[in-house]
Amino acid sequence: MLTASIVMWGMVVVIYGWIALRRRDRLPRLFKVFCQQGEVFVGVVPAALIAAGFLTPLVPGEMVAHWLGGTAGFRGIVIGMLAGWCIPLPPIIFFSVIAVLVKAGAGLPQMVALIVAWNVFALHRTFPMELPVMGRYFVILRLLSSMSLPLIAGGIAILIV
Amino acid sequence: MKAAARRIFGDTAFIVAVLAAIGLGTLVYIRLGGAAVWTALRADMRLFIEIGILVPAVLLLSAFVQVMMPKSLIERWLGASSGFTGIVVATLAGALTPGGPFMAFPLVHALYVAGADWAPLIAYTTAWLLLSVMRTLLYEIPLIGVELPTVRFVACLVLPAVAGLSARYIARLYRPPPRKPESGGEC
Repeated sequence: MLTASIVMWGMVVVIYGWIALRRRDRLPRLFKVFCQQGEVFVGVVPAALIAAGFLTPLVPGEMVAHWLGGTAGFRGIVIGMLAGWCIPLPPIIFFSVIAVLVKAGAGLPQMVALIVAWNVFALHRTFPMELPVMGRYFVILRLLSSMSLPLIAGGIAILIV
Repeated sequence: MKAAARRIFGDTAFIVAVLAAIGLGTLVYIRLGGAAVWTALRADMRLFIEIGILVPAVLLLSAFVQVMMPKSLIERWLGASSGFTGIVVATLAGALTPGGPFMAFPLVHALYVAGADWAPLIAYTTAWLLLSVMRTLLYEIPLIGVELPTVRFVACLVLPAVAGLSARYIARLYRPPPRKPESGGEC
């Protein structure tokens, strides 16, 4: 978070410093685009994030760990994939659950499928941001294109391990 | 200003999101009590602080991409005729984009307005979701050790290309909406 902020704001300072010196005429247009794009972050996004935040206490980590305990083989990969699509947990809790599952003896390929599915789909995470910013077509196209990814990742992991 | 407020708060998506927040909040209150509602809101606060710090920077960079980057450059590397090269370029860019798990969408949108095609944008988003080195180092390795994240990372290397190529085929059947001419908003 801190590193990301420093990198991002560093880039902003360099780029906008250059613009302020050389291309001052473009500043009004830049400001207009900034405001236009920023609108969703004032209205829809915070409201949707609050809604998504309430999902976390409704689906406790222990419950997820219990559901996913003892999954193995290709069936385990499919279960991991399906679970990853709909687990509404923030990263810290999600990876703690994974740690519990690994300790309990879950297979690596199954965990890979679960993590990939959670990363790519995790609707509670992408929807509040992705839908308002990118629009419906992008979201549907991305989800359709990503359907197979957890299975492929799980398959590759079987080959590696 | 007034028009902007009407656009932001009169939006159907905003109203749906508010209703969902109220509904789910009530559910949490009934099932788990007031303390759970408060905990969830406090977690949101942390997220909002993060967004408040990062998003303005992201939006300024997106505005730069959209306004100042030559269209020909974006079209050449990420446009409809960029082919597999476009997908590879997008994958590298996505893996290198810093920021939390959902900060890059304004940037993706700016690239779209600037002339990038859907397939490279999908590859970009997928790479940034799956191949972000920083997030792997920050969240995965401290919590679950080195082995699983390494296997996962290697297994994910080809996935952005798979998603990008799939998107190209799917977009032939499921046609994209026509590109909107840049709409002029005001502040």
